[in-house]
Amino acid sequence: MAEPMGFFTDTTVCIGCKACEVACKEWNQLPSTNGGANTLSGQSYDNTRQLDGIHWRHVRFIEQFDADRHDGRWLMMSDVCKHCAHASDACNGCRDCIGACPFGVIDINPVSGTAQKCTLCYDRMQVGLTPACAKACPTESIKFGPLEELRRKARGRVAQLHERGHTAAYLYGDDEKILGGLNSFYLLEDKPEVYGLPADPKMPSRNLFPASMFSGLGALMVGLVGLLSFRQRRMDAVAGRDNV
Amino acid sequence: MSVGSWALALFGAFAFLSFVGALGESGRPGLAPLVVLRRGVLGEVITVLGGLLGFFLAGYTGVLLAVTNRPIWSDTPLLGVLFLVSAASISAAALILLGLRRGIPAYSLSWLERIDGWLMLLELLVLIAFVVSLGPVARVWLRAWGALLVVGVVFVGILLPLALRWRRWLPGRLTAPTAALLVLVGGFILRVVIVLSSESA
Amino acid sequence: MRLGRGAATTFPRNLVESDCIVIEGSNMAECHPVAFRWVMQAKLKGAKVIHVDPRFTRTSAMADIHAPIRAGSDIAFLGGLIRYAIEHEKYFREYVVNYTNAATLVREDFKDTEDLKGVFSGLMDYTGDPLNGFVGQYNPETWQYQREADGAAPAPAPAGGSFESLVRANLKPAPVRDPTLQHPRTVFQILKRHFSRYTPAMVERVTGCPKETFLKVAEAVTANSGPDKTTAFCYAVGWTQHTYGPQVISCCALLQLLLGNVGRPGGGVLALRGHATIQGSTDVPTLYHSIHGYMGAPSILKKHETLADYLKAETPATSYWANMPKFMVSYLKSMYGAAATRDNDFGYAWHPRISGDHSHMPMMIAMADGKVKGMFAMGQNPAVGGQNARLQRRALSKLDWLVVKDNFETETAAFWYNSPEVKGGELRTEDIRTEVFFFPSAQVGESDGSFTNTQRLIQWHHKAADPPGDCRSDIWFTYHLGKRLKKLYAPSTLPRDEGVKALTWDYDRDTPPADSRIKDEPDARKILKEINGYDTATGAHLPNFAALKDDGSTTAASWIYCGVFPAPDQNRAASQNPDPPGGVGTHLGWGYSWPANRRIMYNRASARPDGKPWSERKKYVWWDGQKQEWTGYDIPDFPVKKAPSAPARADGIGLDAHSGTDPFIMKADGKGWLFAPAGLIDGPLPTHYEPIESPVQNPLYKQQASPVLKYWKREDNQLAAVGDSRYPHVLTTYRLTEHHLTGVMSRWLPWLAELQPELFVELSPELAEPKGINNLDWVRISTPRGSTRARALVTRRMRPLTINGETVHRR
Ligand code: SF4
Ligand code: SF4
Repeated sequence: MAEPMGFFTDTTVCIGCKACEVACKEWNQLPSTNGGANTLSGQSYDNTRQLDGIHWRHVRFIEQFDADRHDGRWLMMSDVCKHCAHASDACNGCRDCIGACPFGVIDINPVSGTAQKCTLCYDRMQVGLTPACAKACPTESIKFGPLEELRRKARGRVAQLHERGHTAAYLYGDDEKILGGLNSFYLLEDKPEVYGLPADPKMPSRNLFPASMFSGLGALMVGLVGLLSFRQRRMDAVAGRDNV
Repeated sequence: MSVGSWALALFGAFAFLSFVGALGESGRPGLAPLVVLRRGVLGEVITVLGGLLGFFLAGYTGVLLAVTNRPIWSDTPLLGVLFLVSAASISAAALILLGLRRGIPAYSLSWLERIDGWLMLLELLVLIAFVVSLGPVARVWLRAWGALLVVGVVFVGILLPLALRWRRWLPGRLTAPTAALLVLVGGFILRVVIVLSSESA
Repeated sequence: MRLGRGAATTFPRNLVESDCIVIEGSNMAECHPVAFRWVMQAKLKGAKVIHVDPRFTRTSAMADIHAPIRAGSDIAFLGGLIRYAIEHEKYFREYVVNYTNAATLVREDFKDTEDLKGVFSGLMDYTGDPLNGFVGQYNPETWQYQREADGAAPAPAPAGGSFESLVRANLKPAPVRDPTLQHPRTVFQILKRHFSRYTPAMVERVTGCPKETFLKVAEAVTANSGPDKTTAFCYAVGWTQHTYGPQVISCCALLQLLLGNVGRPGGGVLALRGHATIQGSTDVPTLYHSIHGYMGAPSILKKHETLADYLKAETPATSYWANMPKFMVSYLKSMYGAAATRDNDFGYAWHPRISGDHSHMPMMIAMADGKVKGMFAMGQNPAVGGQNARLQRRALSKLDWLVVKDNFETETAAFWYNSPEVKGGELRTEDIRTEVFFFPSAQVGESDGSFTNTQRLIQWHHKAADPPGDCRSDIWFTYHLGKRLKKLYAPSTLPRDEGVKALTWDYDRDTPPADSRIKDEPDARKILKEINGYDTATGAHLPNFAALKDDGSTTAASWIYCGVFPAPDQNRAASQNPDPPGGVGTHLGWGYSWPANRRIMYNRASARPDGKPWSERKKYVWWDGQKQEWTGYDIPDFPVKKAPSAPARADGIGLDAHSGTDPFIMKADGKGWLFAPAGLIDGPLPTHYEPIESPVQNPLYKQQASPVLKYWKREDNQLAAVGDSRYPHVLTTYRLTEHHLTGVMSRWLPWLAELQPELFVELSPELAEPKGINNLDWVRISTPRGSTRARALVTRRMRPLTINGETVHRR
């Protein structure tokens, strides 16, 4: 593919219909929670609860109301894999990715027994189809397309919202500030944490080099302790023999 | 991160070779030729490579945890070295215990105790550096897990055994095994605290 | 009935053109998410979205203004808007004067609710069959217009004459009008007096909506109506499912007429249908009180003895309805084919005649009394969805036989072993003698056929695969049932069986399908042809309903659909030619919208009386002076060659009686009815009455509830008295996006079931806390008619309103 493709999710037009969740499950033939016999979460209309191996889309519902209802809003947002621009690729089933994902997107699909997440409907893309979730979205909250075009649209939408007085609107993940850029970015109206997104996610791999270095250093020191003690042991051993 | 799997497999192979070599050393008739795996150039090579892999493995788990997105684990680059040093110290303690059962010479015992003492001091230093490097994240340890860390790891697992060895106020026969046991307990608690407190953070 | 057609005046796609969209009586985002895309697009273009609703729902979340009101107080809210528009001179005067009956004078003896403490003149005790459930009835005599030279009735119809003279005999003198709107008997002045008490303060008292919020809505709606702007209203069952449902809808139509928002792009009253082809099911109806194409059902309670009697009673001399003889005769020809001749009244005598209210509730009441022997339940699940479902489930147990045809074994099919009454020991399976037949149903994609959706758009669906096993389509079932019945009746010589014997029932395929296991599936295209109509001599398809005749030479099962299948190779329901992007979006090549593929009804009103568009922005249909015809983005809903200057002919019938400035071609006077002198049984003007079970006394009138509502008073159908302290909360049931209707099609699907897995009741913390109810607790909800258990969902989206302190809602 010539141009990098991705998602722009405009949460301000999401009506929380979950069509994206169902379309994803239908297309990818993902199992349902306990065969459909799920339990009520008690958290607004969200009974999906999280992204995991069998929920590659998850619509969040955030209720924000004053006690006197003077001010109130009900935010909805369809969450998905962020498709980090600098993600590492191949999976060998070691499950390390589950803990490694900065957004908690991945988990085990009990049917396949492997770690799974959104594939960006790779199979559909191969034949020029829009991903199932974006296709199903009635309000075009989920937009799929070439990233550059999406970014332009998204920035236009933010400007429009600001003009109309919704000054809190901003984009999350459209530029390098977040992990060098997300290929699935969002228009939000409140702090990322409100939507369950990390404000400052970090790439886990950043620890690899320093952690290895320090471990190496540690190993050296342990080795040194060992060697020094060994010398002492020799001397002791000689002394011991003398004593015998 | 599949290097870890490779390292583990290779380490296993070297350990097996050493084990086979040790069988040769045991003096059973017919197995004597295996001794080449322990002695001579081949034996040295196996020991050195195996040892290096051992070091790698000891540090690897900590590094592996650091390269995730779990709180605490991923908030410091020192987890690997902490696990490594602690591993060395508990290995020494384990050897002491084993050695006592098999009646190794006293100079070997005191050698192990000495090395363990240094390692515990080193571990204490790394632990302090570790907590400092966590910065604000370390605040999760202001509660129960922190207390366990101080009492279980620092006090029971490091200071007490050190004190035991320097001031042998227990009957002679008991000092060494008790101290080693405490080190093992401390090492266990350290891992429990690190692994589980990440959940509650 | 203020506008004259039983359907949405506009189409959802057209909401994009709105400057303001008011959603009331509907949770549109939740229940019509696909149509809601147009609301969102309008919003992106800058339109204001207003949601008036008791609950803060997915729709409210998207709205610029959420106006909370108490369930059942919609007329008070809309009435407040009407008063606001009149008092502040914000109605669309030129539109109102020319296109509505505002200027028409009403009889002197008409008395309004202002004069009679909340009721209209003509109220009487109900004297008909108690099974019909009315508590009272109106004689609409006094509601009539004043007419020029009253008393000089036209010559009586010549006996045995043509239908045209029969229609002409119904001609009445023209109504008296005062275009200055000053005469105290003008509709406008009556209206003004009627709504004068619906002040903002009163609106707040009745509805609970804070005055400031109400005024914000009033300002937005009026500021976004006029020559240059339009406001649309969307509603659904939040209005229709009231004892005074039609009054709420007509109140909205009244407001929209006042604001000049009918027949114009981005305006209108959009009925949102919850079911795929619910519009179709009233067009070719399953309704009991009308026959195909919204003609009144022949009734033994009216003077309907012969076809001439029926036509005389039902046909207005003016408006397009003056063509009713053509529609009716074509309908009868479609029913009885060659057997229907002029000499036997085209078989009129064979046609069933109604004897009262045969709608759902009285039918179930009669069933509970053992008067109904058998029932077909197809696409319906009364054991869950019916009001007083307990009564309905018990009624099922009185049947001899019950046929349920559905995709799943519904609660209705399983009532005999699975109902709460059986599980609770109230009924015992051994004692239920109902024989239940369950027929597995094919899905939509498993048969050919059509849907008619909320915008009157008929769309064809093609079969994609054979249904599994014994599953069969609805037309297969109905067709073969009919065939077997006809076979049973064939030997009968009884006169009353003539109708069944004569019935046209011939929809076999000419050649069995090669690609299907099911060889005897009827030919859906033959049925569509039957609905469309054809020439009885040649069998040629009819091009449109203007071709219908009253001499028996044409057929049409439903005249409004005439034109959907104008030629054997032209199934316009299956046509899928969208407009290129960037157009106005009428998409006339996509499907076929009755009548005559018009997308916005009464669209003549989108132009000024002189035929020019009201404004460039709201240009839609206009008079082309050059070509001397109406033209525009839509099919004109008006005689195409009738100039704006054409005068009304005093002696003309049909549309000749209308002038070139009368857009409402289905209304006798060609005007939109602010005041309904006929057609509404519950009064000529909407009036706020309390729901029959209300926690409060009616703050507006002494009359508490509608004087003509229907109620079946019996032991198993009890009501809570006004202010009964045992039932202090207002409860509304509603749908969720995740489930369809009673969930009969969705609760069985794991992917949907997991999204909303349990019954819950939403309540505000203010209600839950004093009762010690925590989130997810089990609570019991009771009415005088039944009770159920549900999980509590405590949320601030619910709020108490200050009429009665507290509000409860449940799914
Ligand atoms: S892109 Fe495909 S796999 Fe990913 S969330 Fe959407 S539907 Fe699911
Ligand atoms: S993103 Fe689109 S499909 Fe998904 S819940 Fe929101 S509106 Fe519905």
